[in-house]
Amino acid sequence: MNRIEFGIIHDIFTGLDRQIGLHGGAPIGLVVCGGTALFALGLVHRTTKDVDVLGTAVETGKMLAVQKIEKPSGWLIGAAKTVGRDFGLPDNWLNIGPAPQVESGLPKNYGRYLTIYFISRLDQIHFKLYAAIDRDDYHTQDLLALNPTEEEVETASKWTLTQDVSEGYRSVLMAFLREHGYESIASRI
Amino acid sequence: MNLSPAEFKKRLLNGLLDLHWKHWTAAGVASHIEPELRWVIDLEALIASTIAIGEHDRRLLSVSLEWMIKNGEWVNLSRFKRIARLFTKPSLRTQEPLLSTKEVNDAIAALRNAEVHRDGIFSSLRRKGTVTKPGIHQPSLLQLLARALLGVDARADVLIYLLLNRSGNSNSIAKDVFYDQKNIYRVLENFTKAAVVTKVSGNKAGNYFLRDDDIWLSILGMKKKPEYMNWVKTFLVLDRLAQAISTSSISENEYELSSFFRDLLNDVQPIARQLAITIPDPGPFPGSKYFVPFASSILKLLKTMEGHNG
Repeated sequence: MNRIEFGIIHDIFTGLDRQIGLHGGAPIGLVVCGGTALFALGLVHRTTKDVDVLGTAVETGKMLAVQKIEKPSGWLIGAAKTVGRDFGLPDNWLNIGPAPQVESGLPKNYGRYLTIYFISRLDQIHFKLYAAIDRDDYHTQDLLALNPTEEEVETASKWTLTQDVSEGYRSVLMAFLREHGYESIASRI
Repeated sequence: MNLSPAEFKKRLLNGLLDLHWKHWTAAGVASHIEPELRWVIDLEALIASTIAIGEHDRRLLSVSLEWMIKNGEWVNLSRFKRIARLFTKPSLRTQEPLLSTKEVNDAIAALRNAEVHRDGIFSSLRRKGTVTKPGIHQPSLLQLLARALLGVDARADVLIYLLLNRSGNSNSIAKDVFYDQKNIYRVLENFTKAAVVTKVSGNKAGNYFLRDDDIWLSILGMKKKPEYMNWVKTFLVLDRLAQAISTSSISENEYELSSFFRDLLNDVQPIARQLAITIPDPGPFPGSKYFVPFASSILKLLKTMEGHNG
């Protein structure tokens, strides 16, 4: 199955906007993380197997909250399926996952229906650290490409400990921090 | 090849209108276009399609109405209604049908030579006396000749199908000629009793064969068989293309057109195969890149149907 070339990611989102309209959908803001958001920040230029969606962006006063998509609408599923066919994308290329507490970055409008919120660099550091502990592969490279400060890594480390409170996780996190030159953080948290 | 959506629209509509003029000319309409000689014309499909694309050529719509009023006796009304139902289904892309119910009812009124209103499609009618009775011995009017011989019912269309396609079962023939399957089964059984066809039991794919093609060609006064094309399916695909390319929200967007082309691919491929034209696989042409390869193939397909292979 094909991987998604980031060179056409904006074409794919523009296509998704058109298809949402054709499938009788309503305007929607999707909060996107993972490799796609890293590409939008100009930090990586690799391919990805899917576009990770944290949830929908919902306005709450002056803030934007990310709301978990419990069950995607039929029109979103239909639109994504047609776009997948049109661009030769892998099945389930629009990967709708759980929505943790994040703030979204600046939105990009793709037409009448679709707005994409790529998550911010700081949020990326949080997610990438968590993913890198779990699987020390390209996530580690992505994390280092974000060039995080010591303070940012410390904040992210503390956040990941709230996501997995097990002792096993804590010890793997400590090992990871020491291996990558953050011994002082490991001793503080 | 450099082909813009605007250029494709112009060439598609010109080709499609020329094709309809060729068929109507063969049926007895005076025009400067050469009559259709290669393919057997399907009257009911031609009428439905002409009304569907009539907004692009009011003169074509006018002469077809004049023909329908004058020669309606040749048209099978129940088959026309069955075919017209396919044209009244709204398209997912445009949300519009190719034909409205009123247009279908107006066409039925014209075919019955009933009182003609001056609204709807009839507002295009200008009686110019350029329509004659069809010369039913032309090979392309085999449907009319068979109807003259067997009556304006399923028997004529089944005979043509078997003569030009060799064999079929009641289900496959009913789907192809747009009649009720029970009706086709009865016709085939009666043809079997009359020894017109041979029934081969146990062969599900094609259990009725015409017994002697040459005798039928001789009875019909033909030296050579004209070619068969499923005009209902062909016109439906081409008319939907014409409708989409004439809808500004779609025609201005190459991605949306490309996506629509992918929707139509399974309907276009059997037609293209019959004309020995290859429709490119969309795989190597993601997103909007499929527009030019597919649109070019459609124009080639139209030219081949019109009899120009250049």
